[in-house]
Amino acid sequence: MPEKSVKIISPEPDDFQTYFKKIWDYKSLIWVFAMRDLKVKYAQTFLGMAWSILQPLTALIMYTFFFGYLLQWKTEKLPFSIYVLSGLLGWNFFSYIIYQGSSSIQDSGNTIKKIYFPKSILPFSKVIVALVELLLSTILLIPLLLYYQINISWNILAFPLVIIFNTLCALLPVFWIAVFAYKKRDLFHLLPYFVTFGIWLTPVFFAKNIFPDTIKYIIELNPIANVIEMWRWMLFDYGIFNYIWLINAGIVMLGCAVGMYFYNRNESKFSDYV
Amino acid sequence: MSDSIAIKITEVSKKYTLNYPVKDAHGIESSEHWALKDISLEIKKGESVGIIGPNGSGKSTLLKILSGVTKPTSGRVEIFGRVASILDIGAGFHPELSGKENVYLNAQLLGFNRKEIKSKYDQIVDFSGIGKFINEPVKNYSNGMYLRLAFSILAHLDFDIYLFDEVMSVGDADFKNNSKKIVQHLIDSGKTILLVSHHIKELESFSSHFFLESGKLIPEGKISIGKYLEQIVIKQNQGEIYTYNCTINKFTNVSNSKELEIKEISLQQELNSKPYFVTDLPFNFKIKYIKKKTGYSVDILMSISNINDEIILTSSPFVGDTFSELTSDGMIETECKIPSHFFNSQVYTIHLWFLKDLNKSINYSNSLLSTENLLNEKSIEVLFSMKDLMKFKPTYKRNNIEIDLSNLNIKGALLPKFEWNQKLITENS
Repeated sequence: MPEKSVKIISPEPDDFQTYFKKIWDYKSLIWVFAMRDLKVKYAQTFLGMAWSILQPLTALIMYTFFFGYLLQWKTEKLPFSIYVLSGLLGWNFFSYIIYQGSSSIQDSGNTIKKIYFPKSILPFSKVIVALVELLLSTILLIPLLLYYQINISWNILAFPLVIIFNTLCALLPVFWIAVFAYKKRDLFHLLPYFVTFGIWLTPVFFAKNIFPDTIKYIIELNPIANVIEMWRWMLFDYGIFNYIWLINAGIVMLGCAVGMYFYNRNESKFSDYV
Repeated sequence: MSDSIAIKITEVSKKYTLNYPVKDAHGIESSEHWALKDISLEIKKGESVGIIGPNGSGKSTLLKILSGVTKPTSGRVEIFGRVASILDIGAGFHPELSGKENVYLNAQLLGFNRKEIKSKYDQIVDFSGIGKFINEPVKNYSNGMYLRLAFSILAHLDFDIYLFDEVMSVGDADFKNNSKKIVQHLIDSGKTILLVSHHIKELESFSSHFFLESGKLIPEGKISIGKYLEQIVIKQNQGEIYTYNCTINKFTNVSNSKELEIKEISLQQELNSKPYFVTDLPFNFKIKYIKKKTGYSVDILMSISNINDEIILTSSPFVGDTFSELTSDGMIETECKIPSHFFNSQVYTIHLWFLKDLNKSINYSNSLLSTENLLNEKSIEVLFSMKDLMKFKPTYKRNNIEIDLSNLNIKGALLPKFEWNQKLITENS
């Protein structure tokens, strides 16, 4: 741990290198917090982890029943339920990190005021929790794949890239919201709008061709929509690999890095305002 | 000799921005609050430093800066060694997790890995006395169990520097005692310790003391602990300390009553021409009050507290089976004589209670005073109570020259003379 040598405390924020070194030194806390969250989340429940499956299952049933069965929305090549589930995997992962990551500073307020650790540890630990939830949700996919006799594509090898893109899309707003909202918390109130309305600009339970060509580009430019399409491409070779995804991924990566930079410069003030 | 330094604080200041501006002493409105102002301090390895200060003096802010929780507005701190910053006992504990899980969580937050914790785990649990409840969620623990477990973690992990914030002010007497022992053990084993507190007793065995007041650090020597504590007591009680013969009719800490009205209190030492109370003369105090109604009697109960607000003695006429028989209304004078050579050199808080019909309502099988220093009001009606501060100088006269004992810093709440005799029984040949 870092305390072995000289520790210097001064008003200046750490430079980027020191900051990353600190995160590395405290990396075990990412697991510690993630494990704590998982244990706490299912404390005093009968079903425990099963709730992580039930929640996307309910969403899957609702969407499939309303849009697939009642409204008869069609998706090419893929059964509607599989289409929706593959969208939900990426979307739930995204929205979990955004919600939990943004509130993580306030949720851990008491700890932050009493114990030092790099604050980026908190959103990172939420990524781990989201990954566990994601893994549990994929269990739902197995019976559907068996029932519809659908095979997983070799594109699955791109999974690490997809999940990194997905994570960055979620961390970008988390960092920026923290930077702008630690003093005045208005942005936290905007967040639910951003997420609930965002799903209507993301092809989770509809195919993007229901949009007229004139406004379809909104979806093309929406990074999280790219991620959802990438998920389907990766799992089932559904749709074509769009090179705009890579451009968007680059932009998101840059935005995330800049966000993290400002997060680092401001994080020592979080404990004064939380 | 930088290698022997554990903590070096150089001109550290911390400014907080207030949500609502306040006016300062000069009436200038400002939304800035300087919690610390130009603090410099060097702590050597193995030193135990106590920082004393009243609430709001910046103690916790200083520890927050040292632990890295918040950054200073200006200045610099260098820390050499592994730091345990205990700003709050059980910080980072999660109520839903079990005792065992919290041991691991807490110790990892303090910078230990699972392997290190595992090797100490049994000791931690043993010491905490939690026993078979260690797998229960800590939200079901009693406050005492919770504190014991949290403190046990700290006591068994190996740090070089310990920063404590008022650790011993929480918990029951047993816990306080235990934590005091542990802190003493850490001091003895050569650890560097910085403890902040507003409780002087916790810091008695520390190697050096500092005072923190309104964000400024004052080293001991510029001002004595006793003097400093007096200031705090005055501030906290918002009263003045009576130190000389006087008759007062304005009181600072009085509660009003429909049945009684205090007219005056006189604090007198006959034959004392000094401008302060001495201890080699008896001390009298007279209370004049108007009893507005008839049909009941009034008895007085007096308790005297030391500077830490702990009651050191209680006295009342009824202790000698004397009860007031005055039931008519009118001006009443009560006098209390306290013998000479009784008080020590410190500030005392004298608390008076005026009790209604004590003779009729006293029940010898019930407690009169509750555990707090308030009367058990269920059985006995308190008509009136008041509180004031007094200070004495312990003295005696030798060849008509007064010798002052107050600088000797003699410990103890009281300094009675008693009766001492010494005689030679057999003489050596």
